[in-house]
Order: sequence, then structure tokens, then C-alpha cells
Amino acid sequence: MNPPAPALEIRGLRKSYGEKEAVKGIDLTIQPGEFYGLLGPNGAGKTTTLKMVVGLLAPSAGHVSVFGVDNAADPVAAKRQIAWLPDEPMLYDKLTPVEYLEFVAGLWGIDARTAAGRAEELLTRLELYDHRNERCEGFSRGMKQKAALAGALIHDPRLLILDEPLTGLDAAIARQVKDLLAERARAGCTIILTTHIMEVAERLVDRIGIIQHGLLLAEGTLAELRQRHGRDGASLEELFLDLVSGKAVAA
Amino acid sequence: MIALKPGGLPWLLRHELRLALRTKKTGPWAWAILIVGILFLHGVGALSIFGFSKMQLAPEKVQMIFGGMGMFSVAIMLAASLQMTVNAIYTRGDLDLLLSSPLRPGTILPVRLLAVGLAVMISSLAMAACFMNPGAVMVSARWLVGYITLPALCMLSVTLSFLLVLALVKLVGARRARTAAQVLGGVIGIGAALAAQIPNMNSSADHATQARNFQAMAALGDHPAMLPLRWLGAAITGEPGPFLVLLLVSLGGFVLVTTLLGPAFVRSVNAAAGADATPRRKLADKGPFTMRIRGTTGTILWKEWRLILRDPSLLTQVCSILLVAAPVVLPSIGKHIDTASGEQMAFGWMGVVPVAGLLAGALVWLAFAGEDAPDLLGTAPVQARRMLRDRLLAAALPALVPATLVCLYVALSTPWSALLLWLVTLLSVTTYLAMDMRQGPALGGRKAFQKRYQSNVIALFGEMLLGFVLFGLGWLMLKFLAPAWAVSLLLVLNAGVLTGLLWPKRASA
Repeated sequence: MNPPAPALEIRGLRKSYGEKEAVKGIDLTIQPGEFYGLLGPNGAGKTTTLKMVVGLLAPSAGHVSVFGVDNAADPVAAKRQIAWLPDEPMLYDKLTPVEYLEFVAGLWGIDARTAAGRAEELLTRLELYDHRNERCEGFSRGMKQKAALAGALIHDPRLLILDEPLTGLDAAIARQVKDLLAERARAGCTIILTTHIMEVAERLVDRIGIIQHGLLLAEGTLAELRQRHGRDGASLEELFLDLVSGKAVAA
Repeated sequence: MIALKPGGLPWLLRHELRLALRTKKTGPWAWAILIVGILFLHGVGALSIFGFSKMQLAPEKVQMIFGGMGMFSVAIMLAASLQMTVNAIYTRGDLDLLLSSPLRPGTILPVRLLAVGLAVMISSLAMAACFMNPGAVMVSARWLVGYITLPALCMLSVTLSFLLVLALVKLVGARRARTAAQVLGGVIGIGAALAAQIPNMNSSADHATQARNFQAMAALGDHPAMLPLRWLGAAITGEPGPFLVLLLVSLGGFVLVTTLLGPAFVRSVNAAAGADATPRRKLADKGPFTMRIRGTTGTILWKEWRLILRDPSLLTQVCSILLVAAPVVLPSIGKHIDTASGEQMAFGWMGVVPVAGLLAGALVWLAFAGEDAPDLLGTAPVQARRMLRDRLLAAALPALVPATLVCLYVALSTPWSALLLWLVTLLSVTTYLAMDMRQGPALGGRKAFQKRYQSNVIALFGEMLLGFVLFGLGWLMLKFLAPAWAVSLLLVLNAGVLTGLLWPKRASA
């Protein structure tokens, strides 16, 4: 029996904007059910890489496949399995959460009954149920991010990609989001998360990739990274700062 | 760079100008459209001046006519500045930064209103120049006085609009004031456009009758009630006394209002700040939780139409469209075309051509440039071409359906003309779609809809010029081409534009 296809397989991925090369050839494999943290300083190429994975940017070179489906050959089939949640919620201020979820479910071709069940569950879980018929324009940033998260989960994606999902959220809402993500990961959903909050990555993710200047500097579990770079007992933050400043390589 | 005292009015004005200049991105095509548009309108202006000069009117009658034109300009500028003043109060932009700084409200308000005045003046002056320049060459250099009186009238309109908006906020509250001001602006603008076309509504008037009509209207100037109009005409035509009074009133009024009403402006801005944030309308929470999924096309259409209908600037935009279409459509009302097919069609029906196109253009702007979540659409598992088709359909249908109904009504009496009219309307809709879908993405997304024309004079000219061209094309086809030839040609043109729309070169998968 063949082993299951990786949730995400990236080979030789590059992206250039004229002279500037934002991503310089990334190879990455993420297995189904993994919770993967992609870390890096601002401008390292994290968002560009993820945007190529979700089909928002065309790669200059290389290929991406999602659960064995080549993104370039069958983008619709690949997109069907992915949900993308950026730091700025992809919402419509003039729609209510229910109307928004109806729209997203319609785009992903979910039948009304299934969509209604999932929407009710998600809105209740994210404490938005009482606001379900209010337009999003009156929502706080946290409520908007929760509505967008509900939209990302309404089609039950196999691969959930989150770009800085906790930016600007208060502690209570951040906790709700983290709990929901951990729950999804336990249920078998593959999750890729970028964050600048090292504690979140340390606590939530199984494996970490550190990206800088468009290249993957290091990859592995926290224990593997500590061992590989001779930094036993170091926190992820210390390890990260050493790696991006070049100290850990010297060590 | 000249050192200006930080926090002062000139310093803030320079800051605003710098931002405005850096925001504008005008490509060579846009400039070409603008230049062609201005040249075309100069031609229209020269023809009008030629007709006007042949009437040999007495100076006091000329003043009366110019007074009427001045009133019309003030009304149009008031309509435009009402909408822009509302934007100045309701669009936060950098207001949070400015109002939280130690700047005096008396510094912020005049700069904001001057920005409104400048935006209104540029488009008004650009239009008026097309008549003033030929007038200066063909009649008298005094026509150039308009370059001073028009900005003065503009300043007066902006001051009046600000007072009206403040009064509306006070009377009906911040949320309703926005809609009320938009409606008021629309009513004033359309009313003025209709009033200005009264002389053209005399259907089969020949030159002599038209001249008599002008004489009759000008004769009204002898009535004492018309004295203010004559006085305004005298100011516009450069009579020293009235001219100086007009300058004094407009400048003095502006300074007085902006000096005294700074705090009232800040209160209105603060009242408007919560207008969008408060829950607007909560639907009933009763009954089981259900959802309606309408298939991919239905989902996209429904979303676009929901957002279009809920757009707070839709009303303003529809009024703007009617205003932009007015110079194209209104002169044709009451006249007929003897078509090449032997039918006689009322000329006014041709109005559907620019109106449907402009409406489709505005809606496609909302759907493309104003899209709030382009990444959501980009990550959805829907073929890019299908997504494009459905979004274009969402913008085209609200314009095409009423236009088709009009054509069906016309078909009852003149079937060939109605078919040609429908095909030209389809061409208009698809051409405007092609032009306006490429304008985005807009800074500020959907919220920038209200400033579509205000921030892009070139787009305004381009749209007006396209309206003239399509209107003229329709007239030529109806008048001179045999129906079979005209239908064939229009089918080919429509197929070409539709192909360009639905199969763009850079469509990604």
C-alpha cells in the first residue's frame, strides 16, 4: 500500500519581483495531521510562500502540491482542500456572519444542511451566535477575526493556513482561537501557522521551520533544533534569535 | 523647500497637497483620454458659442442668461460639494491623527473644505474652460473672467454645502444626515440639469424659434424678482461692482464660516464616527438556524447584489450617473430620429445607452475595485474565468434588465430601432465594464466608491466621452445604416468586446 500523500509538498519554490527575489528556492514537506509553525522576521518571505501555496501568487519556479494534487495542474481541486486566514480578516462589513458563512459555503460547494450545522456549531463555539444577524461593520477586530476563522473552517479544510492569526487579538479571544486550532489539529486537520509570538509556536506546533531572506534556515521539532544547533534548554525565542542573527550556525 | 510654521494653515495645506499629488497615478492612456475629451468638448463649446453669438442679444439679456448659467453652476457644484463634504466628515482617513493632535479645529476645517472646493473646482473649471476659451477667442476676452468667478462660486457652494451638512447632522442625526445629504445633493443636481434643458424640450424648434425662446426667457429679466439672477449674471460677466461683491461674499463667507464653525465641525465628525460602528439592523433571531446556498453562480451574484444594495453611496453614485449622462441625454428629449429602417423613434430612448453603461461601470467598480476580500475570492475553488464571468454578470444585469425592458417597450412601436437600441446598449454596458473593471483595487476598498469621480477627473471625462461616442454611434447606426448592416456590425462589435472581457490575456487559472 502506498503511503498517504503529504499534506503539503513544496519543491524548489521561487518568487521574484523584477530584480528582487522574495523566495529563493524552498523545499518543504508537511505530513497530514501535522501542526507546523513557519517563523521568520518581517520580510523573510513567509507570506509570499504561503500565498503561492494557496494560489494567490504564481510561483516564478518550483512546484506545490496539496495532498498529492499539483497546484499548477489542478488549482481548483487543490484550493478545495485549503483554507487561508490572513492577519487582516477577509470579511465584508456589510454582511452578517451568517450571510458571510453562506457565501463561503457556496463558493466551496457545501450543501445547505451541512453548512447550517457547521455554521451553528462554529458561531456558538466562537461566541458569535448572538451576533449572527448583525452586520460585521460594527464588530471589534477580535470578533471580525473570529468570523473570518469560522469562514475558514466552514468547509472543513484538510489544510488550514493561518498567517499571523493572533495579531491584535485580546487575551480571551486569542485563547479561544488557540483552543479551536489545537482541537482541529487533534481532529487530524493539517495546520500551518506563521506567528511572531514564540510562546504560541512553542506551545502549539509539532514542527518548526525558520525562514529568512527567502530561504529555509532550519527545520524540525523544537528538541531537534536545540540538539542540531547545540542550544540545549534554550527557549524557542532564544534559538530563533540566534538562528536569524547567524550565531546558532556558528555554534 | 519653503519653511512653514508647523501647525499653521499653510503647513497643513502643503501636507494635504503633497498627499493628494502622491496618491494620483495617471497613465499615458488616461492623459490621452483627457486631452481628447477636452478637445472634443472645446469643439462642442465653439459650436455653442457660434450659435449663441448669432442671436445678437442685448447686454442685459446676456446678463440674464449668464445669471441662469451661474445659478445652474452653483446648483451643480452644491450637489457635488454636498456629497464631498459628507465624505469629509464621515471618512475618517487621517482625521483621528489630526483631531488628536494639538491642531486647532479652525486650522483643520478650512483645509478640508479647500480640498473639497479644489476637487469640485477642477472638474467644473475643466468643463467651463471648454466654453470660456472659445468664447474668449470668438466673442470677447471678458469670457476669461470666468476663471475667477467660477472659483468664487465654487467657494460659495462649498460654504453653503458645509452649512447644510452641519444643519442636517443637527436636525436628523449623524447616520441619517449622510443619506439626507446625498438625496439632497442628487435632487439639487438633477433638478438643475433638468431646469437647464427646458429650452431643449421644445421638440421641433428651428433656430428662429429657439432664438425667440431665448429672447422670451431673457425678457423675464425685466421682472423685479429676477434681479438677483441679473446681478449674478453681471458679476459673472465681469461688471466691476457685482464682480467685487461676489468675490467678497464668497471669500468672506468662507473665512467667517471656517473660523466660527471649527468646533461644530469637530462635533459632527465625532458624531459621525460611531455611525458605521453601531449595529444597523438586526434580523429576527427566531426560528431554526438555516442557510440558503444557491450554487456557485447564485452565491456570487447574491453576494454582489447584497453588497451593492447595502452600499451607503449607491444613491449618490446613481445621481452622479444621471448627472454625467444629463448633457448627453437631455438635449435629445422631445425629438425624433427618422431611422434608416423607415421607423420614427423618439430620440429620448437613446438615453438608455449611456445610462445603462454608466450604471454597469459603477457597479463593476464596486465588484472589482471595491472588493473587500479579494484574497477570499482568489483562494476559492472556482475557475478564475467563471469567477470573472459571474462578477461581471452581477454588475451587468442590474443595468441590462431595465434597459431591456425599455427596449421591449420601444419594440412595440419600432421593432428594428428597438433591436438596434438594445445592441448599442449591450455594447455600452460591455464597454463600460471593460473600462471600469480595470480601475482597481481602490485604496480603502468599497468605501472609496463614494469618491470615484471626485478623486479621478480623468475617469469622469473618460466616462462622459465614452457616453457621447456610444450615443453618437447609436444615432449614426439608426439614422444611416440599413438594419441588417447595423445589426451585423453591432453583433461583431459586441462579440469583440465580450471576448476581451471574458477571455482577458492575463487570466490566471
